[in-house]
Amino acid sequence: MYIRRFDFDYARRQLLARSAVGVGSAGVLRALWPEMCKAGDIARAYPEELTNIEAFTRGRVKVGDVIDQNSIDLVQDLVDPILYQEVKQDGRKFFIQDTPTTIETLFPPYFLDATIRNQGQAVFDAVGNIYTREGKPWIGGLPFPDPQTGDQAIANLTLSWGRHDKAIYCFPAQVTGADGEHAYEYDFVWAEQQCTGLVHPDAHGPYLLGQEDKTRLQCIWFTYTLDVKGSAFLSIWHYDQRQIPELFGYLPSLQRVRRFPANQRFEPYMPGLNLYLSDAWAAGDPMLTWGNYRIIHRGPMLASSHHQWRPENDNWTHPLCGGKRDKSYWYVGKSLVPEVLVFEGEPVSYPNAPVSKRRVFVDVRNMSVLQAITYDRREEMWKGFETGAGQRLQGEHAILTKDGRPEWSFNWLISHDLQSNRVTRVLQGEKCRGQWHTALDPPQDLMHDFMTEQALRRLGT
Amino acid sequence: MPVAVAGVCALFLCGAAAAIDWNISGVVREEIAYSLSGSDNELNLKGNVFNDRITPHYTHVGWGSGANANAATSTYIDGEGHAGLFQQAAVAALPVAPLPGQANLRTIPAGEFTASPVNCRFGHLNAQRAGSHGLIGDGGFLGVLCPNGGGSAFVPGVAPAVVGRRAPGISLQGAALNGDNPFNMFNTRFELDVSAALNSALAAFVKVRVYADATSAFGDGHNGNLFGNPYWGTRSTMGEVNARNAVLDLPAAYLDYHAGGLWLRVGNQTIAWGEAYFFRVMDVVNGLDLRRHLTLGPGGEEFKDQRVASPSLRVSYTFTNDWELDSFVSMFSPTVVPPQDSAYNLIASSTSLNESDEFKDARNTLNFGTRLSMPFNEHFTLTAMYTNRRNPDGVFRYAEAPVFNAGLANGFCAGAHNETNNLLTHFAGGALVPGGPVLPAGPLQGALRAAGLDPMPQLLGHGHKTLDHCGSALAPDPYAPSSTEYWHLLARSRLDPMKALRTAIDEWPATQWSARQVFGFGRETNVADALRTMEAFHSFFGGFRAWVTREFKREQVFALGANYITHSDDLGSFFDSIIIRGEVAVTPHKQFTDTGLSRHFIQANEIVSALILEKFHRFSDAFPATYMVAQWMHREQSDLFGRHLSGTESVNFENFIDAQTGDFKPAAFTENAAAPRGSSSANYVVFAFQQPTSSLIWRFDLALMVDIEGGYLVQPGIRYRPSDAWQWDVYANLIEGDGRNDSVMDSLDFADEAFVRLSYFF
Repeated sequence: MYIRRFDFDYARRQLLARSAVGVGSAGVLRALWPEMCKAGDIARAYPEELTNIEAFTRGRVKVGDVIDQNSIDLVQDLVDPILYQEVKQDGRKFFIQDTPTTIETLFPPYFLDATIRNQGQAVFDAVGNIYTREGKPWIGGLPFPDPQTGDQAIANLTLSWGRHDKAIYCFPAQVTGADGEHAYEYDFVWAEQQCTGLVHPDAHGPYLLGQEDKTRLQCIWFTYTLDVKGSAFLSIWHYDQRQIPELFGYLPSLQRVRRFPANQRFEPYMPGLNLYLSDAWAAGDPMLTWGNYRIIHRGPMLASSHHQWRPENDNWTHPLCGGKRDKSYWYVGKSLVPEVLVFEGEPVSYPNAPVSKRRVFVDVRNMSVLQAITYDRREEMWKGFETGAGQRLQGEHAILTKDGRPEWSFNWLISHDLQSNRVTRVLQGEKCRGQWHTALDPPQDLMHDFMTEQALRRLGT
Repeated sequence: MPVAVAGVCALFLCGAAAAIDWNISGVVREEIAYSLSGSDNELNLKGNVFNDRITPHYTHVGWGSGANANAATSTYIDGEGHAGLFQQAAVAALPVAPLPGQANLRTIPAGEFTASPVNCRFGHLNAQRAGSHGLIGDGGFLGVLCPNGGGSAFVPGVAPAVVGRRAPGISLQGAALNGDNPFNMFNTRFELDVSAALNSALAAFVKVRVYADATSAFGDGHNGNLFGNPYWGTRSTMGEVNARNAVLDLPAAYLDYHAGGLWLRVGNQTIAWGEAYFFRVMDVVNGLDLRRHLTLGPGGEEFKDQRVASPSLRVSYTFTNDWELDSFVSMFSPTVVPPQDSAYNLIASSTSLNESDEFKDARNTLNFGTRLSMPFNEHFTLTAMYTNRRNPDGVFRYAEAPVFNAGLANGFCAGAHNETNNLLTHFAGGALVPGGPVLPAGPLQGALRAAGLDPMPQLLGHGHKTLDHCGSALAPDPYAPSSTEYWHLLARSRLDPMKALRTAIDEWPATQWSARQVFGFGRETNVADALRTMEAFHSFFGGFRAWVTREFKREQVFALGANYITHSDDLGSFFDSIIIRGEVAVTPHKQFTDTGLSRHFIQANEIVSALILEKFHRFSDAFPATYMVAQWMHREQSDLFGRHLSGTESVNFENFIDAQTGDFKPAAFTENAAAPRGSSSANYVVFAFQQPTSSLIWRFDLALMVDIEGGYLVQPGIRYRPSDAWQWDVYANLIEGDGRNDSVMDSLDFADEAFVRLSYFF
């Protein structure tokens, strides 16, 4: 007979205890991050019940099971409140996946390299910006792989959104209404270029030449529908996280690039879309324009951290489920994440923001966002920002880095406006209308190709 | 079609294109504008308030007390001291011989040649129909009589007497011209966007626009050709095919190439420069196509649907410091004015616009320009621009009239059909009009020579500006305006009616010869002189209209612009993130339409500037941020439509005629009293906002533009986007001028409307 070293609730008690005091390293049996660096695996940092859903649920749920409104109560403690509501009340369902434990399944390779290489180098300056111990802008990877505070957690999300030096994401997005019917569809391309914290071996150092005073350049342009096609916006993020990014936009109706005020960050990009500037990567605003970050919880969670890339499907899409017409949500898999850190922040610099706080669920293994719940001014849940991510490795399909390691990226998101019951689904597709294709660390010069006023004009129609 | 555009088309058609990943999207839109104005656009024939009026001839002996007819008016004295032929006797009777070129001699009673007491609408045609052989000569002088004969006040269906008071009743023939259409627009639009990425550096884009207007099906009265103009054949823009009520065009058909900081776009395209919104300061590259909805579409769309695309090469280079040099060379393509006899017409239907000859001068010429954008830091950017262009808006002037018009030989033209010359040939002797000077029997050409006066001018041809084929800007026409209407319409068009009359005579040899050297009319320096000439012409020649053309003058535009964004540590402050933009453009020696439609255009240094404040601000947590923009535009020489400010605030005709007696007021004898008062500058203020609801599904717009001279345009609107496929837009244009004809609103006052759009996107 196998004798458990720790009783069944040991892990949960440990996590709750650390949540209560708001400090502590990830990992139950031993510190997670050193273990990941040393062994390349999380298995020895957590007891079995935190890496095995069957063990956690004492056999009531196992890999391959479909969780629906009849079985969601079995895992109620493991899902965020929005997912619970979607499954319980709106017919959403998901299936259970296993929990890979190796470190490379959780990171883009070069970002992981940099995180390991640069650990311990990040410090806050007097105002809260991140610098190296030598006082230079951040040099890449997670600045705080084992966050102890909410400030460290948000810094992990903010300094590098996509965890690649540069990327082009093609996003077919669809919105279903409260009636479950298709309501809106937009295609847009999202391109990012890190200016600091570069990690790719071809990057010639951690900074983009001449752009060391910036965090990133980011451009979004719409390719569908016709009324918004050609709308393009360039956001220039200063390194100083107290500053609002500069925003330039090309609107087809104006036929020219104009500068826009960027201090209003809580408006949808396009009609019907539940996505705001502030929502991006659950860290869409400069982190020092928000405040009162605090860790409120640590615990296991069912989340889409692995195997979310579906190369066998057309445009990498997922089946649909739920809603009144059974087509509101991605039908995706979720695995047991042994430890999730939940922290909150408040938009302290935006007095008229419709948001009172945002609660962000991050996987402590890689500090990526699993879910972010935005609360309205009455502190009622308003909308979610649920994501799925994983390696670009699926059966015979793989997307590799130049040194042959599998790539990693997020794959989809669901933003559910609970108050209007409108669901926005965004897929990171292989392509989108306009002949654009997703690319991670593409060899092209994204800055000149997409992130100048000239480029906005060219992208516009 | 230029090579680049043809290349784009070939790309889309060739077999190799099968390998290209196409992206096709489009929209079908129904758009209806319902007029809220009580009457049709009065510049159109069917909306002309004079259609059914039998207007009096104020200089006829039977009008008023008869004093007007006897008022002394100016006498022509040529540079050698000769009076006009018909005034020889009167001038010879003067105690002192006139000096060469003497301008202040007044020997002609105002009504001496005003044979008809009224101008019966449709006069010329009616005279023909009545079987009139004309008053005199060879039958060409058909006058503006009502149908029952010479000088009659007969009006079918109404009491006939007009002597001593205003002409009563209506002209049923004229009334038949009236028409009404409750709709300003009733159109269907189909747009197709086709794009193709050939490789990472090369892309192509084509937009096809089909627009069909059915407005004429919902009203009556005369409707003009909505889309044809004599530019490229009957095409108004290079890349279009048009019919009377429909047009298919290519607003875009270009190839894009980029490499690093370099970007080239070649093909049919538009280029919008500058940051001012709706106010065109640096936005000088393209003309506007005003045929569809003038500029009265939703303010948020600015000139998207109006800019005229033309084959161009655009080259832009972004330097490492983010400075950008953006340059273009493009083929000239003119602003296309709203068609006459259409809802948004801006040119009186009684004027004929024929630009073909002058357009040929500008055709195939190139405009070019460059712009340097210099962001100095995240708060401040400076832009400098230079453009050398043929002004696509053009400048208007009189043009040579055709030899034949409306099936009739043009009696104003020099040559065999010249009625004045024919009068001299066939004159039977005696008084030309009752009580007029007695002349010997014709031919009188010998008398003309004996008096030291010139013979009828000879046509020179070969494209001569005034004696190519006619020598006059006037031609008889059944839809011609009366003298009262002429006065009204020219004043409304920001012109000086008296100066325009002088120009039509003195700058056109055939008319000059007839009016000055034969009839002896002196220059029209006051209203009495002008009415004398016009009413004499109408009485003899019948109704006539003027021909007008546009010249597209080359000019250089220098501009500077800057933008600055405010910063506050308090992000909730209203004063945080206000974008302040300023632009100023200088056009040295810019040429403007002369208020008399002379070929000697007004030339002045134009300075146009704009200040723009733009702000997004969230007033509450319940609604997304409100977008607000406030703008001020200042123009030194011209108004928003480019009309020179010397033409504003015309003087009402009533200032010269006593409403009780019908006699001239003293002002009618004051020199240049009818000239527009003009304005020293034009200033416009705009405030607009857009307030979406939380999901952006609804958006409420309001735009207000105020012309400081008096008048406003208010455009409230609602946009509803219930799904990705459908969109509703409901807007209204509420326009009010102050009636003094000194603001652009006075020119748009007819265009009050509500319009709705239903768009389907695919």
